[in-house]
Amino acid sequence: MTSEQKESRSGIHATPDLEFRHGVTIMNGCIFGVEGAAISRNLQALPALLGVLACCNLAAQDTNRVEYRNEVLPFLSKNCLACHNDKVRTANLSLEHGGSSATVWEKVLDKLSTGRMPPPGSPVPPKTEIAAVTAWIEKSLGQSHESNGPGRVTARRLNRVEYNNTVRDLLGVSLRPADEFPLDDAGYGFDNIGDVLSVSPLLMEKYMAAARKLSQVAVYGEPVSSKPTKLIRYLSKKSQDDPTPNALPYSYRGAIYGSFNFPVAAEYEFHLRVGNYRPRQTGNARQKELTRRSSLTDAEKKEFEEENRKSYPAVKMVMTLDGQQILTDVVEGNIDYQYAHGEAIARVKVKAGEHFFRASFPEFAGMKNPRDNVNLDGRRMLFIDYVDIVGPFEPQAAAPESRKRIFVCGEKSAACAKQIVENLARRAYRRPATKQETDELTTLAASVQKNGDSFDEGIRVAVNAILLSANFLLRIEHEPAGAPVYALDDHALASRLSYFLWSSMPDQELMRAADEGKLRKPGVLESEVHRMLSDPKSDALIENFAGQWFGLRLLDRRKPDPARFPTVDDELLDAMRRETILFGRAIMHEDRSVLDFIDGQFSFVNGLLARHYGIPGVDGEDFRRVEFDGGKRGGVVTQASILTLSSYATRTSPVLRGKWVLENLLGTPPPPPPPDVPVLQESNLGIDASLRERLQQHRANASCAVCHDRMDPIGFGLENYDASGAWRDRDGKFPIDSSGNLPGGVSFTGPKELKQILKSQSDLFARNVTEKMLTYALGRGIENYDRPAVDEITQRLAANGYKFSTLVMGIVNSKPFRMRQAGGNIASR
Amino acid sequence: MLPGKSLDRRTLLKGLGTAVALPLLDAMVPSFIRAATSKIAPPCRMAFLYVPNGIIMDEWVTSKLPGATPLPAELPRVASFLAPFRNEVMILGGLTQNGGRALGDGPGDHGRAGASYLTCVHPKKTNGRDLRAGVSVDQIAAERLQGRTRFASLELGCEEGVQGGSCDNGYSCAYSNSISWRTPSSPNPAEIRPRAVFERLFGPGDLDPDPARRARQQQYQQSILDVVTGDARRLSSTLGGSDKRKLDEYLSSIRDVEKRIQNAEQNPRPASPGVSPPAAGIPTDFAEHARIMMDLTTLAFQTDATRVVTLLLALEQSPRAYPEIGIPEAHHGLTHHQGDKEKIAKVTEINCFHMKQFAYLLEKLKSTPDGDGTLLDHAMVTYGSGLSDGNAHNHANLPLVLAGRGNGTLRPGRHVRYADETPMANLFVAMLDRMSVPVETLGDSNGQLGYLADF
Repeated sequence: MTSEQKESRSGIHATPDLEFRHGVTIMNGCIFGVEGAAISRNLQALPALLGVLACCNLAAQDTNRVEYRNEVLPFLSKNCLACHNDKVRTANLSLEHGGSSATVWEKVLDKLSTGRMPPPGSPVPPKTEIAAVTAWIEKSLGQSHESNGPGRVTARRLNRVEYNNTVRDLLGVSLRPADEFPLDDAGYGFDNIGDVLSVSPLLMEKYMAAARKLSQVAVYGEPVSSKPTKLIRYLSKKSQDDPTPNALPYSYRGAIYGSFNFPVAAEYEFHLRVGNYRPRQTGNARQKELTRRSSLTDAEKKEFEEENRKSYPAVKMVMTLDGQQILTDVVEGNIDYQYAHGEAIARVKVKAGEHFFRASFPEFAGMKNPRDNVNLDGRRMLFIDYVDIVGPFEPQAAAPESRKRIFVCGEKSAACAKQIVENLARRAYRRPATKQETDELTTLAASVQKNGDSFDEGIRVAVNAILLSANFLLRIEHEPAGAPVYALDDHALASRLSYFLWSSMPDQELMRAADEGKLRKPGVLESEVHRMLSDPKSDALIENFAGQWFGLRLLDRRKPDPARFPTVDDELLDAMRRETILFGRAIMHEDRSVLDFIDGQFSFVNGLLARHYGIPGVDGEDFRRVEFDGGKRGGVVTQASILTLSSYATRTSPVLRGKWVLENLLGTPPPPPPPDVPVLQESNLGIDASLRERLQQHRANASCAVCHDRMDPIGFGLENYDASGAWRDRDGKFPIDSSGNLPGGVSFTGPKELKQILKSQSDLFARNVTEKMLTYALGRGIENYDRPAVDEITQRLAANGYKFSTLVMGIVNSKPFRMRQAGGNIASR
Repeated sequence: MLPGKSLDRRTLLKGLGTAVALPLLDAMVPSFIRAATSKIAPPCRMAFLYVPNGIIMDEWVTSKLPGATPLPAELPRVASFLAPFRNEVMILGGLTQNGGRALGDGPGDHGRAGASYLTCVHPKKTNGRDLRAGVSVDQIAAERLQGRTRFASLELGCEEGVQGGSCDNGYSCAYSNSISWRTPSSPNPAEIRPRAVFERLFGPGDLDPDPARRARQQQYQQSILDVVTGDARRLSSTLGGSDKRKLDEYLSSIRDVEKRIQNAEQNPRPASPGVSPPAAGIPTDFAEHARIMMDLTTLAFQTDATRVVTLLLALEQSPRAYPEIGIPEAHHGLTHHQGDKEKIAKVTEINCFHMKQFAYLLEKLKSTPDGDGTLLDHAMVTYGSGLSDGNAHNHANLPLVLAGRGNGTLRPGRHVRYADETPMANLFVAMLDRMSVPVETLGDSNGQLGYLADF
């Protein structure tokens, strides 16, 4: 074997250098027919091809060549070359002269054996043919499933979310210093990928500032002024596109809501002012007259006042803290009456830490059209203008919670210092501290005391050092010498588990199981996973995994244009996001089938969202569960959050929606568009032509149709949902035509039938969600050698009703999660 | 004030403790001292401003043939905002970033345009792992100038980095989130919070007033760094492969910060610049955000906190809308106008909006006295984009404004059109030379750009 063949055989260190999914060039003027005729087959390329493949001996090479000619080449030209030829080069791949390297063939093998290629909607080749081709490729590559390794995740830096959660769990401090860190770079769709997360000097500076502040607050508590002061003023945005920095989300219904980190347990005052711009009624003649007069008698003043008060119904305003009511007020009258009305103030006992406040007019949640609360000039009639937080009053003298976690013994002695340091380092480094580590930290603390500073200050400095240690900031997995592949030890496994399910450090119980070496005993791992999934901290899994899987963070960037969607405000967008999160949580906590993501017949809405969707019977600001009966809603693809983020600000995009479904549900993303696509005529959409008609251009051109025939129909099936997710039966003056024809002769009308088709692709969906969650759990992209693991999990899912816990457990038990490739350790050489 | 004594800039600021207000600075340098020595000669500064998605070249100063001419009396629309500074700017044409082109890698012009702009190399196409571009010109200068100012460089920006997925056709978002690269695989993230920049420059409000305590705290800080560094080195020797590289990143970041701390001790911050800190949080109004960053750039130069700044006004492929000027559509989408006149008009307005902010910076630099002239006299500020025609993804004939006199090494007021395919890297080589940190080559340079000064 040549060294070239040896290298391509090992597979383990192969780095794919050809990204299948990217790059399309269509030569100008060259339209390629879908039938696939007239393709040159350059048989001269065969020897070169086989030279790249790790085939064992010359005789075998001959057989290989014959098989290629008889079985593989006809298969390729019938099923692949229509798109993957030199002229069209879909996804930057041409198979016209055979794949150019082992890496290419590995990708071909992956796509064929997982059913991703030919793409869904294309005619499916017989299983025997596919099997023959994949067997040929496997033989040529010299691969076998057993030799696939578990791969290797590079040491991962804590990302922002993980840092905040970890310091909260480690120290009990609810500061969120990572909110000031630079944004984490993302890879493979997630922000927790080891190779991508880097440490820069800017980030190091922030770490140092954060570590100093955290250690100070943890040991001494937050600095508190001796007199109560105004700690913060929260303003609400004054319009949907109000540029005021730091203003809280906009609500047509006049609500204001946010959260604040209270420095110390004490009493605090909430001052808020209601803005009342309900206009003077012009119909009342007496009012008119009184308004015009420059001076009124006392009696007339009273009359004026009373007229003003009666001119509008009274509306109740309620303020809550963490959902508990702390203040109510009644707003009466019009703008003139309210003018004299001062602030509403409430004084409340509050524990230290982050708390959520909300002030609103609860009866407005039932408003069908929230613009009823908006004047002609754009100002809202009733709204909360600001919330001031003043305090602390009579702060409690008790030591902060964080001290209890740090000072595990009370004496100010060297022995106690050692105990404190050992305990904290063990928890922070997620494994027992070494003697050297403990000694260094205790020496550090002692040197502070030698300088004349206090015992506490010595501990603070040690805490500061711990928070800056690479052992804290990076998730290091200890590597035993000599083994090329090894099983992760209990502590590394516990760490992977907790960051997977909680985006945070292991808790006491998990740590204890690891300390006692019990974690990998039969049954223990499984029971820990179930315990962790039931713990409220598992909300992080839905927020961070599902949130990024669906692209919910995009919602901030794709807000519907207020001019075209005058009832969509930030409050509604936040409700949309919450619906999807609650939906995901339910699937997780009720251990439902993951197929429910496609078409689960339930969701969570509050009054605002119910009005937006046209669902009767749900009122108020709180979310509640609703059941569906196979109608307009059910599944993420009918949820406003996804429908909005896969649209433009001004209109829907069947292409974006089709792409979203292919990419995020089926895992078969379309390649990106070619560079010279002519612009879509957007003027007079809905007046001269419907969007659907305009997009016909995609079908007219055969080289566009190749990809768009897969995407557009899905989007058409969803056209009844406008760019903010509301149902519509017309687009301008055109009735919605939600029928679609996928290639391969599948046709459907409307979202219900579309979802049936998506559900029929349960294999693809299951594989996709497995790969995505595995990527998130591991912190690296999925490679070819992970295929056996993914296959096994997917099979287990299919056999177990696709339950969520089966997926999680499958990942936790998989080889890539439990084991690791050695990194060429110096010690092991 | 102190006849015969040359006044070190930083001594001035230390002693004042308060306003670095402009007239005061001038008064500190009596005329007979100004005439004297090199001790007063101000250093040269450089700044690189970036706008994405190209510029409507029909509204820009261009010419077909190479040559140097005075700036036209009537400037085209987007360039018209430079009119008040026509004697302080040069408009360069014909420069190319070949590294931004596909060169066989398929689509991804935006990711490449941003990553190649200051590095002048062809970035590696990858979704996340193994990022590779080059060292950017600002970091080359910063590394060589390290120690002379408190900060070797500042990276500022006005648009939040993108997270989630690849950004442009197989290119990680890391490629378009930064234009400054410390090493070929480490992009420098930009700071977009004005308050955070201010506090980095002038310090947090909560420093301990007692100098003895402050000194002890600094000592503890160093001890902490010693402990964690030793710990990490030990750890690194037990790891292999990519883990070891991560540890190296960590260690070099600490080293970097330690150097800054040392610099700080040699070049202490002015206690307060006499301007109030900007509000915490990120301004949502683009003009406000840009102007605050430009104020901070001016302050940083003025107080010699740094001599190298990059300001990323918006990210490459930016989808930002500009409702402030009545444009609700995304910038990037509009730049693929395919000849639609309405879209071209909107893009032109966005280009003008950006240019107005640049004009604001020029105004600030021009009106800030610096030694015997103004900051603008002692600076070289570039403003440009990694694409010329954003619709066609053209990486040639890039729009470039070179403002300032570079301490007398530039001759502004002209439009210089270089031969086609002249690498932009040649300009950067020329700029580094003028900063007294010359290099032989940079990226794909093939010489030093001429015709920038008298010839």
